[in-house]
Amino acid sequence: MNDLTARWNERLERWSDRLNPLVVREVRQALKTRTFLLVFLLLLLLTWVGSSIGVIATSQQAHAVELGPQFFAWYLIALLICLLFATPAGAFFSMSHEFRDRAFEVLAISTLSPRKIINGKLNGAFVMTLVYASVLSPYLCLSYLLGGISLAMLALTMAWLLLASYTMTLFAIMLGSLATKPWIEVVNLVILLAASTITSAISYGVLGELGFRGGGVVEMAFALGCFLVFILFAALISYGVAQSQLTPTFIPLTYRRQVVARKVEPSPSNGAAALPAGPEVPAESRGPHE
Amino acid sequence: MSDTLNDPQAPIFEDEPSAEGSPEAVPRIERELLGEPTLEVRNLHRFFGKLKAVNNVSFKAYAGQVMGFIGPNGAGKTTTMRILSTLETPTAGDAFICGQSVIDYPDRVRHRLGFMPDAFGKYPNMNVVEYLDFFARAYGFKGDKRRDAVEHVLVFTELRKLADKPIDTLSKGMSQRLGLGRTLIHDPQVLILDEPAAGLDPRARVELRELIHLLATELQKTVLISSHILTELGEICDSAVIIEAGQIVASGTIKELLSLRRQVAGRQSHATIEVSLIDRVVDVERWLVQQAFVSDVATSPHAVTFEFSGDQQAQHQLLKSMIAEGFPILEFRGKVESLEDAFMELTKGITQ
Repeated sequence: MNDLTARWNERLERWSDRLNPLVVREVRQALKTRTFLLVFLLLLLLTWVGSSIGVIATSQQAHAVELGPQFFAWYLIALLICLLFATPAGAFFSMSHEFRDRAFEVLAISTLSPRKIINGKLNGAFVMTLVYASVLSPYLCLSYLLGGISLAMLALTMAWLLLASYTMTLFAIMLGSLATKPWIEVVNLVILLAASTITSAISYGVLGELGFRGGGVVEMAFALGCFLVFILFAALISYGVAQSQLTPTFIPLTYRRQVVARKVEPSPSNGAAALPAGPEVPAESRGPHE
Repeated sequence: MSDTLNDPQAPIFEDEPSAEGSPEAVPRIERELLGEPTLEVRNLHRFFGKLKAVNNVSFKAYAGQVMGFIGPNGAGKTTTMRILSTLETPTAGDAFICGQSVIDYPDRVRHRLGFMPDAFGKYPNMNVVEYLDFFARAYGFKGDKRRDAVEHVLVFTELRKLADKPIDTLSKGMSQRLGLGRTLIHDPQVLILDEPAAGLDPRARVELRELIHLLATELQKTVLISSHILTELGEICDSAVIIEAGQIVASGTIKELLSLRRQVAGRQSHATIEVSLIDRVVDVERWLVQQAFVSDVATSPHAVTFEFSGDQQAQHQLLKSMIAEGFPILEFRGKVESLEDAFMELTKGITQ
């Protein structure tokens, strides 16, 4: 058994080399947090107890009425809490923590680019999203088996939720990257909670209206398309803001050329010998770098 | 140009003048003795509005050299270090790490440089080995190379026994070791350490000092280190740069700085002598001011301190005369001049 575990760990280690370093770090950290354990166990317990009670209470009418949509409505609430509140909040705290005690500086001077940092945080959070979704997958199957909800509808609903979760996480990363001071962190957390609430309400309303109260797959696909356009727009803005926030030095190419021109300026060679500072650089050659 | 970007050994600039023809060429004798500078700051300026945080700073450091970067708070030390670490852009001037410009090739510089800020955040829910493993991955190490890099750092910093300890529970001394280990994970040629000994207990300070000494002597790293504990810097560093109000006040080897200090103070003496006495301090003072080579006589309740510009023979003669005079001498010793003395003499206490 020990050999098997060691071999499995070895294989995982090798496989993890292909991943973004931040994904590995984020997942390692997240799996050790009490918040994750608490949310995971609560989700497991509530869906199990809720489903058991639901099945017992509706057992008399199960053969006459299609109960799938009713069950799925409850699972949807659980999914919304995990995917649109827990995951983005985790990503927000993970990002804002980078700015405490100058932690980000040591990350910024590594070979990780701002894009890799954002992607790492985003994908790390997405792994957690998949973990939460996997907990609920048996119950989603149950709601399908109870009838009244098609596989296509289930797939479109899940696609909607995953997209919403991905964008909310990106929005949370952007807010986290702007939280350079404690008071900004608090304000941004409030903004994030408000955005999560609004997105959850819209998602529940649209999915409930179209999916469970008579809407068809075509209407659902149309709604998903509209949502996709909005999501893409929001995601691009969030990504751009976060990336510029994480770039330590931004030097336009034109200024690089100016620097090249300045290379021929004479400089005092006062390295090893004791002497005062070199002469003042002429004002005209002191062009700004930025 | 694209080839140049991919080749770290390629010339930095296509139109770069040859070293021999360049006005900033290093004298041949200096180059033969020390090699090319691994760290070079050239006419560096950094202004924040009207504040001249760094104002025309230039210095060089070579492989195996530990250089102190000394200055009062707000002198521009951290700003210079941040520019060298590619965290900030200069207003004018440039800096080079192993010949690579921090402005033009920050990515190349990051491969060759390790920066340890005075405070660095500790990630929660992470142990020592996971922390180092993360940074090894961040610097692009994979598989066995990554494991070897982590293992090497754990052994060098003696953190092996704490490998599984959560990093947010480490003591200050151990955290600094971990920070140094993180700085070394990609085996950089140049290390920039900003106040590494701040807040450490005496034992941790001595241990850190030994690690830095090893880095320079055995691994031939260039270390630029800033600290407020000047007595300690004097023991670690072989050279120093003193900066005040954004400008370099003096730079050179410790010996050269002490000599410069004496020049600034207008003294030609070679020794500060302290004589401890049982009593008769005033008599000794009166007697001393009449002697040759003696100047700047100062007294304390049981000691007399003075500057002596004579040679060793003259010093011996002076002691003999003092004993012959019957002064109750307990101790007669040359006071060792420290970097602190040089710093106090050379800086004016200007803050911006």
